[in-house]
Amino acid sequence: MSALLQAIASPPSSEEFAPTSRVGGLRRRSVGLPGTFAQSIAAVAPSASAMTMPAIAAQAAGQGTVWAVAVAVGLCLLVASCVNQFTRRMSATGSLYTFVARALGPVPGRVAGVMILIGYGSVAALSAAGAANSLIALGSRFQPRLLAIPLLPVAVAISGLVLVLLILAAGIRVSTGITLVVESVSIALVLFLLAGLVIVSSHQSTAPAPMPLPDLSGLGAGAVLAVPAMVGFESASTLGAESTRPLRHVPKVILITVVASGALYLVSTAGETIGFASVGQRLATSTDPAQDLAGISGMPVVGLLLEASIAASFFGCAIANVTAVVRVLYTMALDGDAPMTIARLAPRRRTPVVAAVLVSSVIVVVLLVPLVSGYSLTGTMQLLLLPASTGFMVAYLLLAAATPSFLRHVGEPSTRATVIAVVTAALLGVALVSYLTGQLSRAGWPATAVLLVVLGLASGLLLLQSRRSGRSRPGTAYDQPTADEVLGG
Amino acid sequence: MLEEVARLGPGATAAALSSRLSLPRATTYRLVNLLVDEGYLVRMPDLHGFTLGRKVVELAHLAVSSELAPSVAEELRTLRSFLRAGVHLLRYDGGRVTIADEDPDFPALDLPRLERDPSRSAAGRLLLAERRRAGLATEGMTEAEADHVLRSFDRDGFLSQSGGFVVGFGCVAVPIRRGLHEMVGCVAVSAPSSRLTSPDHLALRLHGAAERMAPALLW
Repeated sequence: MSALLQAIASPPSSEEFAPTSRVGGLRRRSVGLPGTFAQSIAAVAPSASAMTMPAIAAQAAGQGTVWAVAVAVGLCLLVASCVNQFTRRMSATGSLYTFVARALGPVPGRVAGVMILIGYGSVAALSAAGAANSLIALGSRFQPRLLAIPLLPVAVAISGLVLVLLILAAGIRVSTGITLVVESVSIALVLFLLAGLVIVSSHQSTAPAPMPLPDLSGLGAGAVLAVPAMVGFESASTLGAESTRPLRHVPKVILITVVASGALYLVSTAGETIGFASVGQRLATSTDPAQDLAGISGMPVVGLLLEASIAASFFGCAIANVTAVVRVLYTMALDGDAPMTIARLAPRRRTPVVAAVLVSSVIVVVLLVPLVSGYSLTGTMQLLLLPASTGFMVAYLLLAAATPSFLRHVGEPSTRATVIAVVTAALLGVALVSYLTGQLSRAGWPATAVLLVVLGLASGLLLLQSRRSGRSRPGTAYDQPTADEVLGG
Repeated sequence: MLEEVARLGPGATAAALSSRLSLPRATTYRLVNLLVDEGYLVRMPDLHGFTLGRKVVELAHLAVSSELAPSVAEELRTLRSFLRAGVHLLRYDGGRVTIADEDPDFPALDLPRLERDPSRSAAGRLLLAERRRAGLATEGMTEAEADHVLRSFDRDGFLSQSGGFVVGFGCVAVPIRRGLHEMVGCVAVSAPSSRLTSPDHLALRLHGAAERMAPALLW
């Protein structure tokens, strides 16, 4: 009798398989492919970034920014390839925290964990501010006196966060469903408006807009400024437990998010470059591209729709990023790297409510400090961009470095994947240094202070975690196969 | 691939599989991930290699059907040559209907659906009626429906239906019992409804065959 039939007749012992998944408290196998996709694409805030990022990147890359964006997309594809070496094999809820901890051990794992928390958290705070900003801008078109109400930005931002909390409390299926709708509307609007813009511009000026390839330093610096627009694509890796077929859906979603958002950014960068060129302006000089483009089109309704689209995009982004932070914290608690109370789940909807309330409160405080000190919503967003980008880039770097080790650990070594990982890590290292030096030299002391505070907080968290290190085992809480999936289990 | 995992035992790594099967590594990884995706292989909890997944048991059912006892095969051959209709041998295994021997000349009309939704076919309803008798859950049928079917069965000794599974086709199912009471499977005849006008005659012939087959079936 063949070995296979023999094994079926008397199955080998399956004691290593637990009866339930360690992250089975969450609503397991409840979110389909669209919902999983919504998580990643929303976390990127594609429409909002499509409007704002090109002008920022153009500071370094000039009229040829579209090439810099292409380089940034290429880099993110490399990172996605590394991330997917993990997501194809592991269904997890801790995103890069679990992956790096699994491959490189507790200390690098915790660093990656804290960094990705800072990344998701800063983007969540940033999007709350962004949504509030766009909503107020939208409202002020109809009622200009809104702008004069003191502390209105604070009130709107906090209300937005309360709404996010309520949506999260409704359960992961509802929250991903809402996110999907919001992002779809937002992206459709932006695409429609961009198409219109290109058409209008081509009527106004028949001369083709030149998009020359920037020199190497401009290309690199521009790419580095474009990368922050794409971060968050890996956040579907926090839905490992809740996705219906995580080992299939999550890697697919991550790749599609990079490709789709990358395509959108290439279109928007080219579109904006053309649009500005048609009225003789350069992309880099714009401080509010959305309004400037609306002006070019000559139709106020364009500006309205753009603001609405950006507000929606930021709102969906806030939901997605809070979802991600909460799940990473939940995983840390299960591993012993955070207090167990954080892992408390709501009885019926099975979402980590304690973590959600904690995270939202922290975000409120983070927003209040600059807002009350006199910063505008836009200024607050700019302050938060630095820790956000840094957090993600460091986490990505650690992940790329962890990839070859992980493949060896699971007994599936691959020269090709190792080469990709090494190249990615090297590029990210260069990008990180370039980004930090560029930002800190330009933005002056408030940005430096913010970064130092954030790094200080991160170190504090890491110190606390290392004190509990006797009792914590990072990288062990993920969605392992259970006994009922095994032959003989 | 599955053979090799069975041979190596739990924890077989993809690299080991690739070298033992002389396949390129990339191909092995892709195949392995496909098998994991379908549930035939499962990763070990610590991610060190693979072991066989529960789904391979379904492959075993294919193996079982080629190992019927000769007397059972002979009974089925006789029935099939006489009736010239779809004569199938079905097994009841843990509350599920599975095909044990499908008529090679008249293949079952919708095997996956037969196995998935027992409430529609005579063979499946037979199983559900017995479960109702034992007080077990009857998926796909209300208790009232199951009672009704059970009464028909107790009255006639067989079950038949027409047009309930596939329009224009009917089916007659007769139980196979091990010992006095335990229903381990059934013999079912599937044919166009026009040919099943007197199911009781058909059932008589099937009863005889079922009684002769029962002792030789190792279920």
